[in-house]
This record gives sequence, structure tokens and C-alpha cells, in this order.
Amino acid sequence: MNDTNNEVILSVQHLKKTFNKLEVLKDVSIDISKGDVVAVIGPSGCGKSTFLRCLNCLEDPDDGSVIIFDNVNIADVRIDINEHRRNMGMVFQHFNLFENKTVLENITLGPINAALKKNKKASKKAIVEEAKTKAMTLLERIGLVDKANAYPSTLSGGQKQRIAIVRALAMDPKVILFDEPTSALDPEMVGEVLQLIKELAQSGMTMVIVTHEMGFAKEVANKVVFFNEGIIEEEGNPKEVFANPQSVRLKDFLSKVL
Amino acid sequence: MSNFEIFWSKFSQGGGYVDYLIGLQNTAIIAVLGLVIGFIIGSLVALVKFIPSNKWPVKILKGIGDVYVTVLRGTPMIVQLLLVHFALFPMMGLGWVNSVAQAVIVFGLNSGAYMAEIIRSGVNAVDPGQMEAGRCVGLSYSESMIKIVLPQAFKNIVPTIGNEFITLLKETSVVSFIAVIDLTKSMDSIANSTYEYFVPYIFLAITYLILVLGISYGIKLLERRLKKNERHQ
Ligand SMILES: Nc1ncnc2c1ncn2[C@@H]1O[C@H](COP(=O)(O)OP(=O)(O)O)[C@@H](O)[C@H]1O
Ligand SMILES: [Mg+2]
Repeated sequence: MNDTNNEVILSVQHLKKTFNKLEVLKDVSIDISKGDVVAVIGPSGCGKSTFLRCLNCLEDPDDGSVIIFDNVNIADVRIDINEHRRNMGMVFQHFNLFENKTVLENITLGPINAALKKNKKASKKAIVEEAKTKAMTLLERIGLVDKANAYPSTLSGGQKQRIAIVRALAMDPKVILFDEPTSALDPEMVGEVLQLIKELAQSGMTMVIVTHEMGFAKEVANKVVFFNEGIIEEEGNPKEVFANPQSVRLKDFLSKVL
Repeated sequence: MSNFEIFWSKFSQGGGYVDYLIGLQNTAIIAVLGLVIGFIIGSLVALVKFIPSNKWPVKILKGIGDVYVTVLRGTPMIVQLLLVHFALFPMMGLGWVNSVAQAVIVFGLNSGAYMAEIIRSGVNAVDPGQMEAGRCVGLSYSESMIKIVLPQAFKNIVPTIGNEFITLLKETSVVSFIAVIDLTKSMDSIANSTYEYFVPYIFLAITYLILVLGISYGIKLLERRLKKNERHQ
């Protein structure tokens, strides 16, 4: 699938995050290369969400943490994080589609805003048209063109999550982060969402996916990372990690979830 | 003459209706402008509270907002009105300002304190994931606020704002203390000059009731329109 000598796009070095006195991430380092699909697993409360949220600075990492994304240390509070976030998509457990916007507006809001900022002289109309055309193409890809003008409250969970994924895609991100994308779904809708993520993986998208779907992790990821108590306790190729876990904790964890 | 005839002769030939219309107008002006000014002040105070910064100028602004809300909500409107009309304005050399305008200012300031709280809780009631999703597609904090959070907050608080409007309307009856002719004052005059109290006060109560029912109906329509937005396919 992926060879290991690919260019590193996201390099996390000594990431720490403390809430008040609670040390959630103690010292996390990982390099993620272009095209990598990294599955993040671990018991609940071990800091998986916090890790993802630090990657795009929804949480400010503690001083001294380094997150090199696209050659910029985005953990540095002085950089314009909005610009870097546009290159890093995020898909949430609870979808978080904009409730006051239609499906089409959900997808085009970010791209239109970004294009207007990047190119101040361009005609707004042209930018809007381009964003809409692109959004419709994406909707076609997931078979939801007929929902373009619907509001999120009228959609099923699976539809919402697929639209949330497409919303992230529309920004042309270099990396997409997923935080338990199927955990809030009814069982019969899990498949359609995993299928879409799998297609993205096949198209070469770089992704970090927090998931409890071990079968999916094994099949789609080229790297699995086991978090425990704020550190990466074990990492490696999924086939090896799942077949031959080293640490007691991972063995214990796998015996519970598999 | 019957009670009603006494009232009616004073109301029509006696010119009572002129006061009644003036009173209706003043009541409406004070309640509506009070609401609008209150909404503007309340929005500013609430938004200052949401500035995600702890630098000292922001802290001072937030502090001023807190004091304003506490004081205005912690004292009766009538006291605020008397203080402004008989003490503060004359002391500042503003005693000449039209009493209706003074009432509008007091009602606006008073309502602003309540609106600040209404808007603040309306924003807090919006799922934090909405703001986060906005940030994640590269919108700034204020862009996410304006395009995503505030429209949803507004929809949630429309009924509460309606209640605030109704409260304001009913409270306008205190302005007779600073010699503004409002609805209550206009009927009060008829009652006091004819010594016939029943009909004018019933007439007054009915007038308020009709206004309040009208506002409630308007709010319902607005709510329904904002909701329909979600349903249509
Ligand atoms: N904003 C926050 N404030 C305080 N504690 C938090 C916050 N976010 C997460 N935590 C705590 O950090 C720990 C890790 O949470 P999280 O990253 O959500 O775990 P996971 O996603 O692995 O289940 C938990 O103990 C949680 O209570
Ligand atoms: Mg989590």
C-alpha cells in the first residue's frame, strides 16, 4: 500500500497536553507520511480525542510541544491557525453539520471563505459558482445530490456523516482527522460511512482515524497506534500489531474489543 | 347616566380619546424603541463576554458589562426612571430632554441588561461542536460566530425576546411617574375626573390584553417561519 520512505507531512514531537492538573497527553511523538492511514486505538479516556484536537489546535498543546504540519510548527501560538486548519480536515463523532445551513452551504462555506481570502481580486460570483459545482460533484460521488438543499435535521446519521466527510474533502485538505466517525451511528449505517473512508484511503488521502472498529483498522490502515494513559504504548503495521501484541495492556485491550 | 355613558361622554366629547391615542403612541414608542435599544446594547454586552481573550482591556470591558447587568437587573425600573429623570439628567444639564426620550433611554438600558443575559444563554445553548466545525473549515472565531452560532442562537431566543417585549410593554405604565402620558395615564385621568373607575380601568386592561395577544401571535408566526427553514426539503 504505502512505502515508508514517503515525505513526512505531519510530525508530532513531544506533544503534551494538561487540563488543569490532569496530564492527558504525556509525551507523544509520531511521524505521519503522505498517504498514510493511521488508526488510533485505545481505551476510552486515554487521550485519543485530545490527541486529534491538539493536531488542529482545537486544544492548545502545552508549551514545548511541536507539531510540524506542512513545514510550520502549528503548536506555536503566533501562527495563523485558520490558514493551516484549511489544510487539515476534521470529521467528528457527532457530525457537527451546520444546523442553520443547507447541505450545499455546509460544503461550500469553508471553500468560499478560503478562496475569497486567498484571492481578494477574484469575482465572488465565480468563486461561489466554482465551489457549488465542486460540492455537487462530491454529492454525486456519495449519491446525495437530491439532498443538496435539505437541512441537516432532515437527514439520517449515515447521510450526515458522509456529508461531513465531503465537507472536509471540499477544502482539499492534506490530512483528514476522524474522531470515532461511526460511534454515533445506528449499526446499519456504519457500513456506508466506512466504505467512503475506505475509498478515500484508496485514493491516497492521508488520514488519522480514531476508531473502535478493529476489523476496519486492520483492513484499511497501514499503521496502528495504541494509546494508553497519555503515551503511545505500541505502534506498527496493523497485521503485526493485532496478530502479535507486545505489551500486556494492548493484549488486554484487544481481548476486550476483538 | 350609566357607568358606561359617563365614561363614553368623557372619552369622546370630553377629548379623552386624544389622550388615549397619545398614550397608545407613547406606550408603543417606549416599548418598541426600548426593545430595539435593549437588543443592541444586550448584543454588545453579550458579545464582549464571548471575546476569547484575557488581555486587560477586554477584562475591563467584561467587568463593566457585569456591573451593568447586575445593577440594572438588581433595581426596580421605576427607581431607575426616577433617578434618571429627577436626579441624573438635571445634574448633567439634560433636564430639558423630552420625557418620552428619557423613558426610552431608561427602558433601553434596563432591557439591555436582560437581553445580555438572554443572548448569552442563547449562545451557550448552541452545541459547541458548531463553533468547532466552523473553525475546522478555516473560519475564524468571529466568522464562525456570525455565520453559524449567532443565527442558531437567535432562533432559540425569539420566544424569550417576545416575553421580554411583553414585559416591557406592561412596565411602560410606570412612566406616568415622570409625567409622560401613556395608556395607563390616559385612563387614569378619565377615572379621576369622572369618579367612575370601573369602565376606564376595564377598558385599559382590555387594551393591554389586545396588544399582548397581538405580540404573542406575531412571535408565533416568526417562530414558525424560522422553523420551517429546517423542514423543507
Ligand atoms: N476540555 C477538557 N477539560 C478537562 N478535561 C478534559 C477535557 N477534554 C478531555 N478531558 C479529559 O481528558 C481525558 C482524555 O479525554 P479524551 O481525549 O476525550 O479521551 P478519549 O477520546 O481517548 O476517550 C479524559 O479524562 C477527559 O475527561
Ligand atoms: Mg474520544
